[in-house]
Amino acid sequence: MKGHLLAAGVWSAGLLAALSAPVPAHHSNAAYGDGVTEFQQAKITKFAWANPHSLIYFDATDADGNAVQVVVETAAPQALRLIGWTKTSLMPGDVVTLRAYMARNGEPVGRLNKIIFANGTDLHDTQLGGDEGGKTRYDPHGFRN
Amino acid sequence: MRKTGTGIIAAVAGVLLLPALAVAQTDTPLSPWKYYPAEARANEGPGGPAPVRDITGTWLGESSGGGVPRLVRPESPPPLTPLGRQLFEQNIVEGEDVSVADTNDPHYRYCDPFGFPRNMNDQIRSMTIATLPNRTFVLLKFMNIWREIWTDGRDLPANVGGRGPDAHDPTYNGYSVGYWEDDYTFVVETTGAASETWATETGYPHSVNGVVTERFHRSSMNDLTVTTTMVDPELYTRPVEMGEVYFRWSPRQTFFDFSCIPSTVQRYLQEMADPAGTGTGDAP
Repeated sequence: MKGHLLAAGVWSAGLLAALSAPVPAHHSNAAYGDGVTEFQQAKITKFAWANPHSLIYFDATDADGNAVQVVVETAAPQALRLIGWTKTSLMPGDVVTLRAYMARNGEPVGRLNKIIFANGTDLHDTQLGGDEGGKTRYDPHGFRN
Repeated sequence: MRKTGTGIIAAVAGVLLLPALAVAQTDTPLSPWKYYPAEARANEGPGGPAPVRDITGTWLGESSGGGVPRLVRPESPPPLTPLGRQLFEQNIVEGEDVSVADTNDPHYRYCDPFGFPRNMNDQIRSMTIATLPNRTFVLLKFMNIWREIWTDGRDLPANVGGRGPDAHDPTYNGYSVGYWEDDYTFVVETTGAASETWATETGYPHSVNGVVTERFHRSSMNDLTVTTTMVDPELYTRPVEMGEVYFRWSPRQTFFDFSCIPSTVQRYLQEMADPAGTGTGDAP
């Protein structure tokens, strides 16, 4: 598996913050940076469909060509179901493009932005899943209400 | 005239049926065991008058996908006594600048129960109300909690958390009694809730002697509002407005469960939240 860790998705947080309405988050995302990191050819090793948050474990390759094992969190199953996820949305062995807000402290952990499958379909996080970046929400149907 | 009348009837029927048809077209076949947020959202409007003295059934809360208005949060800042402020300042609330690794919220760190009254002003997602001749049960989907509200005319216990043979032990949901204030408002009074829990997501404290009054007001077939006030003179200088929580009738009367599993919380903390740290650093 040859993957690439691209830091090219680090967008202007100031501009995007101006575009997004402030929404109080239930769970803090203070630990995560403001820019999106994209992992291409991320290979899923485990998907924990669990509370308080679901966890996605995957293997990727960093910008220096080193193999890295990463885990990112996304919402609880009860929230993910509302936007199209199921317990089997991700299976070990799936190879996807994965975007995430990574920890500011450099640890290989983060909060999911979105997953893009080879067929072009995608799955978003709720709290930070907005396509606008800048830690915006994804809630196309108003399911937060 | 007959054609006009028929047209009006058809138009009205069309308006009423459109949401149902939209659901049917997007979700087929529908399982009686599943929850369909689109169906819940299609159930717009009051749905008719509220039945008399009846709040039984399953109700959707905020973050259910059912199109329920956001709750009104407890008043802020809270009118704390010196002791109340001391307790409040011990609670490190997860928030915009405080990560999971930093908080001492007993629920997020240890999967402890929210306890009452927090379980009626935080999360919730949905609830089922069941009525027996002498009790009403409130079943909260978030954390699969059930509260027992006695309606047989008894008084609240006078001695909770004290010493002696007449004392009652504090409980996570306290001791509750209920009565109908009018045909559409069910009032619940609760005391004796274990004080080691937070009263709100924002870390407000409460004492075991606090008395919380909830008004479950059903304004229509589809709408239920719970308005809560807390009187706790040890910790607050006056009654605290604990906010309003809105609910909508669930057409299918189903919802997902939502449990806190201690082992998965520990995994989350050890493998995710604690490594992510407190938000310091420049990466990525």
